[in-house]
Amino acid sequence: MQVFARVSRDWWAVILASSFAVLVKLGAFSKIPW
Amino acid sequence: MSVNETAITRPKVTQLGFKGLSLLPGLLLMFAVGYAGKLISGYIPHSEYVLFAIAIGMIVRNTIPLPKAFTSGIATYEMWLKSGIVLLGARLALQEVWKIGATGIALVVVEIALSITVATWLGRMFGLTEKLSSLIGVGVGVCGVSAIIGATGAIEAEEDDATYAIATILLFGALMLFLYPIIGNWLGMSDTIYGYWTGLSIDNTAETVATGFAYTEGAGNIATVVKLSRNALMGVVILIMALLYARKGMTSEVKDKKAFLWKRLPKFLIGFLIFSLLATIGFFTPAQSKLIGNASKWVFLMTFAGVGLSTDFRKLRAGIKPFLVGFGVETVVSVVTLCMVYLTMR
Repeated sequence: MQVFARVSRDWWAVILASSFAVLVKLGAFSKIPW
Repeated sequence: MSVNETAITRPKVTQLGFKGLSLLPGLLLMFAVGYAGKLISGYIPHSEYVLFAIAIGMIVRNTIPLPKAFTSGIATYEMWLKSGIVLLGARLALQEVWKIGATGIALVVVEIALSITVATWLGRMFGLTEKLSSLIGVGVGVCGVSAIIGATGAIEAEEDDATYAIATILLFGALMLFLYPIIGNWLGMSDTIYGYWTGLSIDNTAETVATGFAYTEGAGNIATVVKLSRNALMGVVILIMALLYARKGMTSEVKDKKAFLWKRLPKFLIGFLIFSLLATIGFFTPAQSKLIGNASKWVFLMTFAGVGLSTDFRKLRAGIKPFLVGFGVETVVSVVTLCMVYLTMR
């Protein structure tokens, strides 16, 4: 759990964006009208 | 560390869950404010939602006493901004980023040197401490609040100096947000000229991105990339400043220069470049790139609402002397960068 606290906001932003991109690649959002 | 110590310091899963929940009111408020801005802009022709989202946020923050429950959620706006910038990478091919960044970096070097020189000169004239002048110079020249915080530690400046410098930068950021689109329209600027000008002269990343997108999407993209080249130079500028102060005997020596630079490199910049690379090599289909691009817009919507909701005018009182120095530096940088952009882009 302490690992989470040590990750900077910059890396959190990268992790968040990357997770979203992975979901997009898996087709998770293809039916949502953005 | 003993087992007992581990048990004391390690946060429990329930605590993390509670922390996540505590962000919810602020996140919902940011979304509501951003969405309201989007709805209003839909009724006004040729208007961008950005300024409405920020203006509504500012009105809410400065007229309604917000309960503390909203604070932690609103404070996440910077992370949304960084995520949005990383996602934006998927909309920009690496060649485009390189083209904007390469031209931008040359102008950025001149702009940084100019703002630090003018801040030092004006600071001396108004009797500010050398360190406060340096902080204002770095704040205007490089990247607003992060650069000031980074430089404060590096040159061992007083906390009051940092507060003054940050207040000055944020005050001007708030003013420029509304002034720049008016000036841009008045002078009939192209997206390229406006984007470069904004990327070079607005200090804080959130305000730069907002001011760019407040004009057009194209201008917003250029402003973001130019601003990222400024951010990339943050470590180098702060290192030079720390070395100069150390030579004067005003701070301690920098021992590990590589670690110093890595610590101050904005890591989301790496994410942005990776996304741009992935888009360039066709990792994302056009539909996927569009989807990621649209997601970045929604994330920015939260960010801009957060910028407004975080702007407390009572905290922007910087004191008359730092304000005048900041005003002078901002004016010189704004006018000179506009001339530079006009000369190089024509």
